[in-house]
Parts: sequence; structure tokens; C-alpha cells
Amino acid sequence: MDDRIKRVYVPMSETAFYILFCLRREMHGYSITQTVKEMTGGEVIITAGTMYGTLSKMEKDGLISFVREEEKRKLYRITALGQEVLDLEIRRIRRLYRNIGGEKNE
Amino acid sequence: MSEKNIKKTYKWFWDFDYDKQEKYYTKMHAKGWALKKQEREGTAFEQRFEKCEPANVVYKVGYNAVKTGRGSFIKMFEDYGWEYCGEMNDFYCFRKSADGASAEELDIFSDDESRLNMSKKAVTVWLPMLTMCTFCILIPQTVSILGDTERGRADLTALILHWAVYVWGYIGVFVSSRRHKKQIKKSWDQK
Repeated sequence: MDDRIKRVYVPMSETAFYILFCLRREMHGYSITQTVKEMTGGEVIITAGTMYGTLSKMEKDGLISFVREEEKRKLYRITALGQEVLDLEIRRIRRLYRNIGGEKNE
Repeated sequence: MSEKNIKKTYKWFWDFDYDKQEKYYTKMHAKGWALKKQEREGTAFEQRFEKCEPANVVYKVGYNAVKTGRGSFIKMFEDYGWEYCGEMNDFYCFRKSADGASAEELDIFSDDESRLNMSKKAVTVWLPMLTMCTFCILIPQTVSILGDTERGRADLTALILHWAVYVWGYIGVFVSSRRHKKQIKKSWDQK
């Protein structure tokens, strides 16, 4: 992973994190928004322009790849590089959670 | 449709004035004039409207430079309930009824990073073009008119007007990009 990717994506925004997290399986933009809305109880809403822009940027940076098109909807999936970035983020967030006493409350 | 049901207005919108366009179309729709759909038509200074019932409809402008992605770009917005209503120079116009919709549903951007990106794109699309025209058209024209001993008053007037448009463009770029940043900051302060 080159430094530029690390600088841009670690740490990443909540929007970017959820998009990458959802794309562990093949999905299109709107279905990601719906899944994230459900996962967060309506607290994280990703709109059309932000979704399109983030997907394009991640595709350009090689974090996700275009799989196929279905009724003009583009379906994407995470790449090996994307998974590597996601794992880094998950480790960082777990550490945060641990350090604020998260595990004690479980 | 009879001419009575069509209204044309003549306003100049630079691409980076997309926020002003959004407000203008939204205001017109509330007065009973819906922006007429015109694919790959229309100019920056002529807007066509169709008579409609006055309604609370929000207009938004999105940007997509990837020509092959045009269909999927529009489809993405349609999935989120936006109706496509025209495009110009890679800027696409969409609208949605505001009745019963939440603030998030009426925005096309949900974070500041993407709002700033939109502003940057609108400015970076224009600056190189403006600069190129300045060096390839405006400056040679200025040199030729000023060097012409038989130049008339009309030539000078044309030259001054030409300069005025460019200066307006350059100032517009900077004023708009500052305005966009202010709006982003304001929306952040309100949260």
C-alpha cells in the first residue's frame, strides 16, 4: 500500500468506512445507502452525490472495482487493497473502542 | 403546448454559480414555473420554463465528467428519488418534491468533503478555460487593436467589453468559491 492511499484513507470518514465495509459483498450505490441507514438506525445517511463521488474516487484509487452493470446500476466490490485499508481502519477503531473502556461494557 | 405556457428567462449563470441556479429554479417552481427538460440543449443564459402548479420542489445540480458514466450517474440520482431535468457542460440538474422529505433527502451531498469537491470541480473546470482564452484570444486581440493606428472607437469599446467579461469571470470564480466555503461552514455551524 503506498503512502498516498494511507494518507487519504487512514483514518477515513464514516461515509467512506461504511461504503467500503458494505462492499465486502457486491452492491450498488443506493443499496449501500439503505443498508447503512438500517445498520445505524437512520443516523448515517449517504446521499446520491456523495455516494457517486466516493465510489468514483475509491474505484480510481483501486480500493473497489466495478463488477457489472444491472439496469444501468453499477455494482462494485472491494479489492485486496481495499480490504487491507479496511482492516487497518477496523484495527484502529477497535483500539479506540478498547481504550475508552468499550469492552468492559460488553 | 401554447406559447403562453412557456416562459423564457435570460440570466447568465457561470458553472460555478450552480448554487444560484438551484435557488433560482426552486424559486421559479414555487411560483408555478417548472424548468423545462432539455437534454444537451439550452445555454448558460437562456432558461425555459413550463407552466405548472406552484409547488415546493427543490432543484440540485450535480457534476459528472465521465461521459460513459452518464446513464449510471442519472440512474443513481433516480434511485434516490431525484428527477433528471437537463444538463450542460457536465453539470446535471435534478429536482425532487420537498413535501414530507427530510433535510438529508433534499440534499445531494451528505458530507463537507463532497460539498467542497463539487465547488472545486466547478472552479477547476472554468479556470483553465478562462486562462486559455485570455492568452489565446484576449491578449492577442488587445495587442492587435492597441497597435492599430487606425483603430476606431468601436474597436476600443469592444475591447473594453471583452476585458470586462473576463474580469467578471475571474472575480466570479473567486467570489463563488469563497461563497461555497462560507455556506459549508454555515451548514456546519447550524448542526
